[in-house]
Amino acid sequence: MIQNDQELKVTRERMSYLLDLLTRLRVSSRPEELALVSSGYRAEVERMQREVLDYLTKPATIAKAG
Amino acid sequence: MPLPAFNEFGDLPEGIHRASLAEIVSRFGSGTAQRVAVTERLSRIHELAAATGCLDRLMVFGSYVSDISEPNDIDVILVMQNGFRSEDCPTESAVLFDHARANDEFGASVFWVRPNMLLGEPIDEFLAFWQTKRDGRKRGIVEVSL
Repeated sequence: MIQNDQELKVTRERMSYLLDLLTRLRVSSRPEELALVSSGYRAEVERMQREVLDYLTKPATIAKAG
Repeated sequence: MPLPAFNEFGDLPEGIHRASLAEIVSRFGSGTAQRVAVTERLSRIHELAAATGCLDRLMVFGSYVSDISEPNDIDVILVMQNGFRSEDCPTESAVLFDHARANDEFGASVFWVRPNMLLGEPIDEFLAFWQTKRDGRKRGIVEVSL
């Protein structure tokens, strides 16, 4: 769970890296293996996205206190 | 070189720390029933990954290689040789290369890659990504000596 703006920044940077990785896997993987090799990175992006949205939809005062 | 002590945050110092599976089991595989159970899963993952004949490196990261007494799961990276074809690996090993199946059957979060998939990014830079925690701090990860 993201607890402050610093963690939000780091999570967004990590998401950006994984999205770039998926961009490369889309090109470098054989079509028949793309779903498998990307599955873990996709799950990680989705998890991070949920955490980002949970944080961004929480009032800033509560977010800071949390 | 033995595995280093945990830092003040309960993590290994930044970097990749190499150890045999026996050393890893000795260091991280006891203390709670949960740790014993997760360690058995790691041993099985190691066995299945090696059975492909194409395993290049196996890294363990996350709460298992920290001072947390009851890690929920085990986080693993499989670096496969560039000639690896997932459809040609032994049937039993195939579960490792499907993230959801590996999670269901082993309680493991398995990520895999071949170096040639990274399109020029050095494999050590890819591995460095997994050393960054949510707060931006760096933590060490463990490479199982093959």
